[in-house]
Amino acid sequence: MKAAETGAQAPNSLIFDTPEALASHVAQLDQPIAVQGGGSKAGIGYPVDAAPVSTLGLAGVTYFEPKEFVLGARAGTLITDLQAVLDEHDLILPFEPIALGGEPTLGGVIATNLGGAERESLGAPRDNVLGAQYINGKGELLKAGGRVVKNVSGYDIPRGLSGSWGTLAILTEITIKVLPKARAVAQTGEGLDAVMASPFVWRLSLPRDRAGDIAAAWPGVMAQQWDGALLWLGGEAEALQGRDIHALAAAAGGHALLVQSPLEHRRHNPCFQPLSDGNIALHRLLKRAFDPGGMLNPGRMYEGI
Amino acid sequence: MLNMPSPSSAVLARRETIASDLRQLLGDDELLITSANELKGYETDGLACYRTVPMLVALAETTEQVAAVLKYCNDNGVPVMARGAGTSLAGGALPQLDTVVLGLSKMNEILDVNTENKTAVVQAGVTNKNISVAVDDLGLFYAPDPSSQIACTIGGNVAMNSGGAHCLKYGVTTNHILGVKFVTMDGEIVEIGGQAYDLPGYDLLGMIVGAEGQLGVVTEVTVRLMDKPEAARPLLAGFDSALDAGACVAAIMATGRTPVAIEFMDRPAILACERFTGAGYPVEAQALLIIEVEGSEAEIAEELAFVEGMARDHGAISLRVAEDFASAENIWKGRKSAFGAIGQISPDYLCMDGTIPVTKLPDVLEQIYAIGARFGFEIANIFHAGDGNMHPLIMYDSHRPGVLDEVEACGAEILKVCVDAGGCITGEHGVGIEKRDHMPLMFSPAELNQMKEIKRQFDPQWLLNGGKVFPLEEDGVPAGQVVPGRAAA
Repeated sequence: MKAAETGAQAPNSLIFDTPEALASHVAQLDQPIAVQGGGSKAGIGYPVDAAPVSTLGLAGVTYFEPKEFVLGARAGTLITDLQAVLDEHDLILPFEPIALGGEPTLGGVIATNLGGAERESLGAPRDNVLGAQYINGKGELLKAGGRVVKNVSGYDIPRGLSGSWGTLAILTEITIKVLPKARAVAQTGEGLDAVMASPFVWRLSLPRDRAGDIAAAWPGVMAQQWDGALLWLGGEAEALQGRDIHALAAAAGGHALLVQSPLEHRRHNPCFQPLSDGNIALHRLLKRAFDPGGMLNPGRMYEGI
Repeated sequence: MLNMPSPSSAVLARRETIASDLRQLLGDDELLITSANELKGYETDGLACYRTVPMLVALAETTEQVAAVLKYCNDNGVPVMARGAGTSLAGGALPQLDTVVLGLSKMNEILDVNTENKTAVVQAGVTNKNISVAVDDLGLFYAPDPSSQIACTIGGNVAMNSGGAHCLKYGVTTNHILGVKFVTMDGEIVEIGGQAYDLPGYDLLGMIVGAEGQLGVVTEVTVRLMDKPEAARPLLAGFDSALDAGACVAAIMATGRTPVAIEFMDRPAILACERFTGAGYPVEAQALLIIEVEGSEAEIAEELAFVEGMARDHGAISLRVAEDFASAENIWKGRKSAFGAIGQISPDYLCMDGTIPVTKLPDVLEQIYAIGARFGFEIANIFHAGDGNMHPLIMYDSHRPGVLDEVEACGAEILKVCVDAGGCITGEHGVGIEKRDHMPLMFSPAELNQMKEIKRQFDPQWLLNGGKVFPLEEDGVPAGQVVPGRAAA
């Protein structure tokens, strides 16, 4: 292991060359760790006060069958590197990653399931995950899923880990479906750059029939995607006319994620949509199933999760 | 012959008390089935070679009843299993002697259709086909289409993450579920997801869809609807070798121009289906591809020309495009009743469900025929070729003593070939009991244990749909008394 020298990494981030070495490190932990990829989404969630561990040492394509449209790569592989590999075969990623500054990795895109403009036509990152190798909180290096699109052999752990923000397991390798360029769809999301220039940025995923009212009422800068069902709201303060954005999104039947905010704000306010007691109880069951000791990114999403 | 967990004699001894308690919870005597005659209707599913009459059947009409039954079973250590239409080909709805079957078929209402969001909220017992029928006038449809779609329920589809012929283009169940009403084993009712395209927090839908009804019971489902294509047209391409047809599929898929469906049938399947439905399949062919394209008339013409060219290049001996809507319907009717058609020519069959990378199709087909020949079974192949999801049907006669063991051994070899080719043991039917003991082909003990740890967290007493998905020895469930499966009549 060595300290990371590049990327948007916390200083002194530990970096490993093989999944086995990282697994062995996790197995011996007696203190929690903060899991990082390219750090492009480091500004989302409660700050995790723990020793940083990087996946950037786990890089490279491990399996590529262009005729099957299937690609496997280590989690720390940069999205830009994957795009270059795919480009040579006239292929594209089946989701549009969102770069919020820094260089996103494949692992980071899947772990956050933050997709871009094309959810309606091409699916979210999670829709295109076929298999994963991962390290659970006990330091076991495991695999789930496989390399074929149709696969219901056992619980769908690769999808369950999508969007878990490194709090259930550390993804070390991911197999995804890729697409021919011919099926690429023009991107929308006009105005996103202006939104991102704001100190506070919210991402609201809403029922389409309720999104218009919220969009119309927003006083700041805004971008719309998914044919109006996804709103990016930028502003100076976190609330809209004194109302809590999470509550506003929930009242409309959707949810909100604070994707950009000052560090001091994030320490004391949730970025992730607060959940019902019943729903958070299910989150705790999954957390206990994968990371019973609470070693991985504890508290990044919710209290203890 | 698969082993079943020993039924709990303590639970069986309390049968009368449990029945009386459940009657009270359901609030309507008609909703609890106790007579041996009626219970027999719940003894099996689409894997009819295994049969066990359950202890009791509780028919739920509301989510609150489901919650009450689950909480009761949890508090009293009673095994329980949700059942939709009972069409599982993997024994996913097979009860055990001490099981309370929680029947959801009465929960069959479509609660809401939202054309702007393109969603429908339906109860778990609504059939797959009825969702599409209900929104047909609106120009919408629900895309995943298992062959059993006339009978199978959306709740069962969610449990098994079902696929279907048109999933090649549209994706499987998990890609089309936006929300569920989920009842936990301790009777909590939790709303997950809804009308938005994605979820806050963990991907609980991803975990629940395909967990084979082992984590909780889903009573309502919010599905995503799609715009109906302007038109669709199937093409029949006959080949004089199964290997040519397999190579044609691989070549079409490699271009990235994905048709909406590519279905494969070999000679035994062609003959059986033609006899059954008279759909006009080429009876002289050794293998048949049904390739469907869709879009505007111009798009259809262009795609058909491309597909026809590919078929000719791979030695197609006959090509026929459906002339009209009725003939297209008939072509699909033949395909979707294929399992029934095989039932007409063979007393029994076991349907496998392995998936392989499409480029391996010709090679794996050859190996499957060789395995069948070695065991002395005729095998018909009917499957979703475009995504490599194979359905070899091993034909047998259950009246011959010991034959089920031989059939299962033959099936096990086929699944091993699929896994060795880079595929998996089940593409869309689920593990159930049928492939339970083959899970170690794909997963290490630690990997299985991680899945089981999820189950343990959601259902610590392992009461919900137990005896499935995981090999018994691994669960610590004593294999003990074997519940004898009885072959289909």
